[in-house]
This record gives sequence, C-alpha cells and structure tokens, in this order.
Amino acid sequence: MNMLGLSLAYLRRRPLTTALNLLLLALGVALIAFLLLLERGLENRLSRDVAGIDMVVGAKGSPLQLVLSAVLQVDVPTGNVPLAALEDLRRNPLVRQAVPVAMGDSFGSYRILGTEPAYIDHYGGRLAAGRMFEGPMEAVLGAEVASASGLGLDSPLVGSHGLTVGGEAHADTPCRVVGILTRTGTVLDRLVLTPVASVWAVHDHHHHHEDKAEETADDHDHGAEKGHDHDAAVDHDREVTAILVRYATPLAAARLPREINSQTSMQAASPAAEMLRLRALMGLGLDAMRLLGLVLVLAAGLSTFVALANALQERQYDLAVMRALGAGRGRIMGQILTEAMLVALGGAVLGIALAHGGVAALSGFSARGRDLGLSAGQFVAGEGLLLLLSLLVALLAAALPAIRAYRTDVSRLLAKG
Amino acid sequence: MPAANLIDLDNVIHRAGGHPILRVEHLSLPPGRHGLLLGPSGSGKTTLLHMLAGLMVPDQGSLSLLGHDLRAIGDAGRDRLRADHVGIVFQQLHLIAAVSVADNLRLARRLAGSAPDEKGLMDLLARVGLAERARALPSDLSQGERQRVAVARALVNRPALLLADEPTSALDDTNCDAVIDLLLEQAELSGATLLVATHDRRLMSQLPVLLELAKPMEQAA
Repeated sequence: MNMLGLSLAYLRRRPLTTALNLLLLALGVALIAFLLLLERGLENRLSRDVAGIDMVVGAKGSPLQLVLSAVLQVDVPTGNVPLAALEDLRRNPLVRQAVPVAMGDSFGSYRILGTEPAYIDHYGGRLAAGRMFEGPMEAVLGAEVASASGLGLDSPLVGSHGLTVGGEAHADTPCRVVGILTRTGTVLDRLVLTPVASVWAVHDHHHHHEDKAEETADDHDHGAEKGHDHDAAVDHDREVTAILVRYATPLAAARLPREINSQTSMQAASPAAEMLRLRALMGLGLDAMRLLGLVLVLAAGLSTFVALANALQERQYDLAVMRALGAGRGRIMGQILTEAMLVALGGAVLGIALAHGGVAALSGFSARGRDLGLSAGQFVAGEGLLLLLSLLVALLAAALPAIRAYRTDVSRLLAKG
Repeated sequence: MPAANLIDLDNVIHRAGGHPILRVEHLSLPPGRHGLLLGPSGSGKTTLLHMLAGLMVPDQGSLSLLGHDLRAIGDAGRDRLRADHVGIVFQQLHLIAAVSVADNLRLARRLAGSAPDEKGLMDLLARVGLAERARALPSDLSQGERQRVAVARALVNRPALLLADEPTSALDDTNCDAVIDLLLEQAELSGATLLVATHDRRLMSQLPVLLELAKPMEQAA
C-alpha cells in the first residue's frame, strides 16, 4: 500500500463525487481539445487549399467572398469575368500561370467546376481510375464525390442548376464520368471537374430551352453563363467565374492587384490576406468556445476543492493517524495533492480521449469531417498544455486543503478522540 | 552507546491557556518494564502519552526517548523517531477505513519507511487471529477484531515502545482482561515495552503503576 494506492482507495470510497469531478474536468478538456483539433484541421485544410494561389481575379464585390467561392468552393461567386481577361493574364509576363474556374451547377451537395487539367495538377490530383477529361461533357470525380455517389467510370452524371441542393436538373445535358481521382485532402476531393466548355454547353442548352418557353426573367444564382448571349456564342463573349493566378515574380504582388483593381471592372483578391481575415472572424467564435471549455475546467477545479475540503473534514483522523505512524507533514500534504492530481490526470486524459473520439466520429460519419483531413491518432501540442493546465488547476484546488492538513495539530485532534 | 532507558522525563510542565494541565517530576522507563500511567479523566494522561510519542513537546522540562532529547531534535526528528521506535494504539483505534486490514498494516510500514515484509505482516495478523480477515475492510470487523488490528498495526514496525491510550474503557471485565492480555502478549512477542495510559484501576492487577497522575489542581497542590 503506497500513497498512490491510498489515494485511489479514498477516491473509490467517494465514487459519485470522484465521477462528477472527473466528468466536469473531462468535458472542459474535451471541449478545448476538440476545438484545438478542429482548428488545426481547418488551418491545414485552408492552407492546403490556398497554397500556391497568389491571386484570384473575379467580378467586383467582396474579396473574401471571391476567395471563398473560387478557391474554397464554399460561397456563391461575386459574378463573372470575360474569358478575354484570362488571355490577357496569360500574356502578362508577371503571371506564371492562370487557371480559369467556371461554376454554376452542382451534383447533389457537390459543385461542378469547369476548369482545366492544370487545376487538378495544382492540387496534386492523381487518377485512381480512368483518364483526364478531354472534351466537353466529360467529368472527373473527386474522391469524396465518387465515394459518396457510388458513380463509376462511364456513369452518366446529371447536374442540377445552381450551387445549392434542389436546383432544376439538367437532364438533357448529362456529363459522362471518365476519371476518378485519388484522395488529396484538398478541395479537389469534393468537386466534379469538367472542362469549362461543359459549363458553357449546359447553360447554352438551358437558356435556349428557356427562350423557347418564352421565359422573360433569368434570376439564377449560377455564374459562368449569366448574361452571355448564347445565340451569338463566340469565345470573346464567353465568361468564367474567376481566374486563379500564380505570379512569375514577387514584383507581381505589388503591381498586378493594383492594376486590376484600378484599371478594370474586375477585382483581384489575395487568398493569403483573405484567409487572415477569415481566421480573425472564426477566431472570435473559437475563442468563445474555448472560454466555455476553460470555465468547465475551472468549475472542475472548484468542485475538486470542495470535495477535498469535505474529504479533509471526514479524514482528519486518518491524516492524524498517518502522522502518528511516522508520516511527516510534507507527506500528508503530498497525500492530498496526489489525490487531486489523480483526478486531474484522469479527467484530462479522459477529456483528450473524448476529443479524439469526437474527431474519429466526425471523420467517420461526416463528409465535412473527412474533408478536413482530421485524424483521431494525431495530437496537437496544445493538448499537452491542456494536461498541464488541468494539473495546475488541481494543484491550486488542493493547495488550501493540503496546507490545512499540513498545519493540523495532530495531538490536539487525537486527544479529542 | 545505546540509551539505558527508553524514557527519561524530568520536571515536565505543560500548559494550556496559561494554566498547567500536566506536571510530572520524574519518570524513567527501562526496556521491558511494562506498566501503567494511571490517572482520572483530565489528568493529562493522553497529553503525556502524546509527548512520549513525540507528537508534542512539553512547555518546560526535559524529555528524552531512547536517549534523544525530543525538544532538540525538531519536528522531522520526532517523526522519524516515532516511525522507527514507537507504536500507538489509540482509544478510538482510528483504523484507515478506506483500505483493508492488511493494507492498514502495509501503510504503517510504508509511512515508517520500512521495507515491505509480507511474511512478517501475515505472521503478525495470524498472531492476533486475523489471518483470514486480512482483506476485509475495518467496517466489516467486530469491535474486538478492530482492536486486534490496531494492536497489530502498532507493532508492525517492531517498535521498542508500545503506547496504548485507554484501551479498556467501556469494556466489561472479560473483554478488559482479553485486551490487556493481547497487548502484553504481543508486546512480549515483539520485544516491545508496553505503557498503558488509563483511568481503569482494574488494570492494576495485571500491570504495575509506573506513574499516577492527579488532576491539575491536585498536581499544583
């Protein structure tokens, strides 16, 4: 029977109090740890998705919206830009690469993105099956789309109008799946990729159909085809939703965005700068959640303090007898601290396990979770700090009862009987 | 050189609230001389017992245990001396309720810094007739069994001095004899000297009175 065994025995004698303290601490730690893991996943995901894209050119509007829609594929586009702008950029010596993206349709909850193979190369996309799209109405599926839809090679893929679920189906203009990508942990995984010409073709057909039906209004929220004259469909009238640009030289960062913003009807947005804004916006919510977790950890500390103070009252004779058996004052103090530390360690470990269990559940059951590339087996440095914080809170909670035990007049107590 | 006496006490005075509660002129206890500290309630028996155990020091006078001046060796020194050489059986027994009978004894060894000795521990439990109850919790034992555990715990570190505080209060004659027999027998077997603080004059038939204390007013007189 050592001090650790004795501490465990005392904890076992108060199962309800011990369980309550453990649970309180575990919930606080779990909440904070889960947020840390989620934040890291989100950070990694954002970093992967914006990596290598120096500038996004799109229609005027919110630059954050432009980056969210054209790079992260999570917001509606700000509008369209002329295809001619893509050619202008490609001719610009400050530009190493310019890749168009055109959107307006979706497949289930996944977006159909008109682009070029260079877009897939940019994210390191590799074919798991089939081949790259070569002509209009051919589609390559991201790994998540393929897995969720069950579509295979040569399957027809019917998109629906708009970027939200429930739009009108383009049943007359299905695409054909020609390739499936391996998982990349980037935005590619949840996209249906097709040539820009497919997007134009689908919407030429759609508008033609609408004109025949003498539709007078076109309030669709899709982008690439909006406003173009499909009866006089020539390339210089064509539009794309946005253009993703890589600079050829650092000098471009100083000149190109300013030129585009001041001399054209388009806007240039920096993904890196917009991500900083996004992090600042998200940070507020995450901070609020972290604060809640901290409150739970402190509540657990308070509860541990109350439990130890009560336990000390109940066990004052035990502690006195231990002194009488030869234990020094320091050892008695250590006994109280050990007990608090055991609760803190148990609560923190349980909390971290809960957080990783939550991550495992999230990545197992939710496509969004998988999309973040979260792994239950990976730890972040903040979790170690969380463990130390829990131990510190327990130390503070146990300090007063431990000092009281240290100062107890054993003789007077035992004389009382 | 080993001390001739376990205890040497001279002109000890202890006060509480400014008033003397204990006054003892002299007490010497050689090894092997079992005996009684006799006195009525409030005469300071428990206070003296705690002093002999090093749980407190007198306000005045000299008190040494195994040749060590208890006032001079400090708190840590008294803790060490008590752990190594003194076993105490409390009036209320004060067994640790959270752990088993055997663990109460193991804890006593641990707190004294003694090496684990499972065989010795089980032999001791067998000697007091509790080998079969080693894993029981104190709350599962009878009062008599608890008393035997308390005696075994006090002896588990093979102390030179075994102190017992009012071990027979509220016991009938039969049980009173049984408890004193147990304490004497186990003290003899362990080579410890037994000192019993009691107001129970029935014990005078079994142990000599080494010191008889009066109430403070009478002591002053």
